[in-house]
Amino acid sequence: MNTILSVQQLGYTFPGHVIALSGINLSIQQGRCLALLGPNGSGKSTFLQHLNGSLQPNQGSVFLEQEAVSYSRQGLNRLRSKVGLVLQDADDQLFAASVFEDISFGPLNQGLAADAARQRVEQAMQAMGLVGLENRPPHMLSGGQKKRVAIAGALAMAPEVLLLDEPTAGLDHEGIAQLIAILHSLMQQGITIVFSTHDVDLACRLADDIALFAAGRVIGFGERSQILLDREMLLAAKLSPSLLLQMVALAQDKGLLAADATMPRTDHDIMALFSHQQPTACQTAG
Amino acid sequence: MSEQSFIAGGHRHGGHFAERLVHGLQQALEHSLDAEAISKQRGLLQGLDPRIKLLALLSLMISGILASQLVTLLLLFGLAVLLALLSQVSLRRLYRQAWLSVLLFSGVIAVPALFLVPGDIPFRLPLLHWGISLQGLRSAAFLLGRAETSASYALLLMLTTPWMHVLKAMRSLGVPVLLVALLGMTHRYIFVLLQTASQMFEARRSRMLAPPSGRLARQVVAASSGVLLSKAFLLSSEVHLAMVSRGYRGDIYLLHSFRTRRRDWCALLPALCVPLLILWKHA
Repeated sequence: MNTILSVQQLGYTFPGHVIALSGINLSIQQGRCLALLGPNGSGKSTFLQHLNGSLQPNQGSVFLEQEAVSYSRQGLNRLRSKVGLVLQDADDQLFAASVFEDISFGPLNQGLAADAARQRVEQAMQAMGLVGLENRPPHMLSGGQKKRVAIAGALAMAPEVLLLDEPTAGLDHEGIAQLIAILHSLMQQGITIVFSTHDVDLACRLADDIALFAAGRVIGFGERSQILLDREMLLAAKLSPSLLLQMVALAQDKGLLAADATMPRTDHDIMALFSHQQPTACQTAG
Repeated sequence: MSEQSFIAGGHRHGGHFAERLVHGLQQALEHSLDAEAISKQRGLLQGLDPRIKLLALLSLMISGILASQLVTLLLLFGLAVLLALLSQVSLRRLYRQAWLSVLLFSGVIAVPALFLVPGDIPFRLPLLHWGISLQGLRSAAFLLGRAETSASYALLLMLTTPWMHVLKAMRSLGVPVLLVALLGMTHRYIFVLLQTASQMFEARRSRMLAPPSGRLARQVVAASSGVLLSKAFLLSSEVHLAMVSRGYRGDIYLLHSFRTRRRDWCALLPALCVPLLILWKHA
């Protein structure tokens, strides 16, 4: 698998000597979904902004396809064409007077002709289920719709990597379910997803890999189950372990589930896993 | 529009300043929703190409400013009323959102003219015995007439055209893209800040046991304004970040596509003729 984005010894200090990130090394594989998991203030959002070139590191470097990112106009244009960013608060992101105009902002900045830009906007709206809302002003949208417009705005730039800062913040249950479905479909299209969250269950549900953030550092990085089953590490990051995965680990310890059983993502998965394994467990007990 | 409606509606709603302000903020949001709904109705002005509509209504506004006879002004005002009726805009709405506010604002300027402009004095105010001159009356009538007529056309444009179509029309008529983008963003974030302000006052109100004294209310407003200003600064940096992350490099581009039909030209031509006729009559 190819590394599409990576950082080496990345450090960033805010004005006033507030250290936001320190000594971060991370590689993001193409086509995978990476969760930046950590409590509030652990540096996840700042890290995301570095990946899109919105912030320039004080130390270390960001690499796009093994090449150090250049912060020249041309270099940033290349980076932002490949790496789209969706901010946490959709109100910050939707600055145009209408949905259509907002989504067209990125493609037009990429220098696309009007027809090509219009086509991109229409495709993004279709993918996000926003058809019919073209002329709607953003303040007349629901929270979930705003979030989808924000994602469409990034998608219309046809990025290879999509960065999402706390994508489920402020969304209700249905909004979250819709968003997860959309992100799954984007992953199937081969788009690399990187999202920040403090929600262990969301990371469990969506991510392939997890980078655990604490106090501006990455204290753990690996495959989903490897990180989420490490109770000590999660507690060190001031996060509570996923109940779902704890149950599976316990079931494996007790011999109720096979040791090589696939780690579930949702409660449906775990139900399916147990109902499938139950006869084996009963036989073992017998 | 929203500010006008605060003035028109602010004092009708009782209660304290903060309550009236929250009510006014909510009204502004409601007016905006109403305006969007009206712009989607079937009506004469709604059916026109926004560019043509913008030009035609601008031309009629200019006609009002150029008019040197009260009859012309009255006719133009009557035309605004007729257009409103044909576009399903109620006169009550025009009264509330344009006529009353303009009357209050322009009236303050117009009233002194009644007494200060020298000329024939047909009657005097009872008790005060201040003389009202015919010339003063004419000046005041012109000032109010022009302001009311212009405000009516401006409101008709805003009520019958979605805001983004107004912006696109401005852009396609050659208004600099930066100005259009600024107007668009201003409109967008007025609502974000209105919502924030409304929530701030609502949060404060929900924790108040009794209405604050006048002094305390003023302190609250001053402190809230400061908080709102700092929030606006924070928001502006976030917006800039969002723009930069989507490739903004100092230039703004917009897509626009309107189609002009025969009826649009049929509406534009007479509208453009009115100021020309007035100028010709002057000459």
